[in-house]
Amino acid sequence: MKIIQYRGSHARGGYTLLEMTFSISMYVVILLSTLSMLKRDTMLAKSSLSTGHVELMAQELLYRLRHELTNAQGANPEAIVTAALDDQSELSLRVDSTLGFPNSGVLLVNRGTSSEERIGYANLEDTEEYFGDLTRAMQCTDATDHAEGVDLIWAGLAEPLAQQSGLSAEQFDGIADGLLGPVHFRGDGTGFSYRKPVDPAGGKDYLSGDKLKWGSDVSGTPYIDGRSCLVFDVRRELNEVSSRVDLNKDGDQLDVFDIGTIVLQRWVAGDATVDTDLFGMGPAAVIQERCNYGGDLDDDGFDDPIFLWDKATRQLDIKLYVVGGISNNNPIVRQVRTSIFLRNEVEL
Amino acid sequence: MITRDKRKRGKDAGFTVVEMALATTMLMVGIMAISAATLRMHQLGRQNRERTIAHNAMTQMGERLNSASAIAALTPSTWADTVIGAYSEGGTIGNLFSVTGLSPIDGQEKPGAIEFITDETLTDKELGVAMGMPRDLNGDGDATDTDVSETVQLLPATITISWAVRGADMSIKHPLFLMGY
Repeated sequence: MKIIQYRGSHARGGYTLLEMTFSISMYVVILLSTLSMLKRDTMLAKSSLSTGHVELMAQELLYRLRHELTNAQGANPEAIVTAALDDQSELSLRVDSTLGFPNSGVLLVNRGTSSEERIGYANLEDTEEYFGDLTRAMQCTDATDHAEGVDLIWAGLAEPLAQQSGLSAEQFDGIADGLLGPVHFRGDGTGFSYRKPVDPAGGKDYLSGDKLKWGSDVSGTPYIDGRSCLVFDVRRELNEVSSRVDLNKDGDQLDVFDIGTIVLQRWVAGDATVDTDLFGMGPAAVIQERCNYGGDLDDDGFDDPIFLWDKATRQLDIKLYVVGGISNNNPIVRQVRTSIFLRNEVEL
Repeated sequence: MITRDKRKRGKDAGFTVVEMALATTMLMVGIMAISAATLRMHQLGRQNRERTIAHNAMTQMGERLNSASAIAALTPSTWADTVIGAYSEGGTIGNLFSVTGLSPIDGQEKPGAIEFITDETLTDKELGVAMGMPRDLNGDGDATDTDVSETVQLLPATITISWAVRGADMSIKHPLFLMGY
């Protein structure tokens, strides 16, 4: 009888346990590397696409704002309180003039003092002397008494101070990084009030003598008393605690942000019978830190108001921080900025 | 007799290690190609962003120059002196400016630079921009003056942003005209 020796190289021989273990180990290593590479690529691609999308959104918004403001005339929503207001009153606030203030918004009263308060108002009375339906102690301030004669500004306004050096902390609300150096400013910088050339007859005759006729189109009708403003409008909240992110890179995860859009408001001053127009100018993706509107959003040591209006140079600086898709569990935030020189004289 | 080929085609045959290794290698090559493409896409995205920043900064500076010009024009006799004096090298503001998000190229202090053109005889080719030069800048009816800084009425300027990126330096140049209106 012939004994046939069983050999490993035989077609039905298979592999030894050692060979199999080695092969499988190699295969597993390769497979894991492949999976890891795939995962990284997917994240990178997702991040690139999300970032691109956010940047595009921001640029589009910037373009719309430029288009809207090219021939605008900047207004000065500032007033003086003409009747004392106690800390309980919610009916109305009397001032010298409400001209230039949007139909609803937030006032910054007694700015830079211990009595500083942000007061919301829901309407303007036709006499142009009263802010109506007040909401006291807004945006982390306390309700206090306000004496006659104190000044107030529309909280949306941010304007550089005439004096830029030797200022004490209570004299300014923030320092922005201007193209030519730091700029001390007051206000929150979440809005800009303006007028545009109009022909009340509905034609294209914008001149009265050698002067432009200023106003705004409201509901498709040109009004000489019409006014416009762009303002940050809150839509939702982004909480660092629940999101577990440090959105403004300040080293903690405790801040709360308001996410909103820039809304164009058009109204007729002194005529509450005409409804205010509201137009969204872009996606609800613009961020501001709650209770610190106009504050630092990228930890570069400078504050970041959306609008910074320099009446002296007729220069409007616009800076937007736009939040978009998620990358590595972090929302992507992108900054875009521009400046617009308003060719027309400032409203006095 | 069972042949080797018949066994390979049998329904219980499975894959050999060599086949698996080949398949895995091909998969790896494919994934590496995707990976390279993704990285390139990321780089292009970054370059695109930097270019957008540069364009925005250029627009910003252009508007600032227009603003400075309009204010200086309140005193027409010193308009050109005021603008050029402020935004030239050694001027009160200077001709260089920083751009957040862009790094200057080697040898340059800042990414942004402003240049005023006060030589009527310079050509577009020499300036590297299309702005219809040479031309009459001081309204004297000719375009032969080599220094019109004292009498200029139409002041051409260029804003250049140069920044460093991996592998190559990028630069964009934008012409504009300022008027003492």
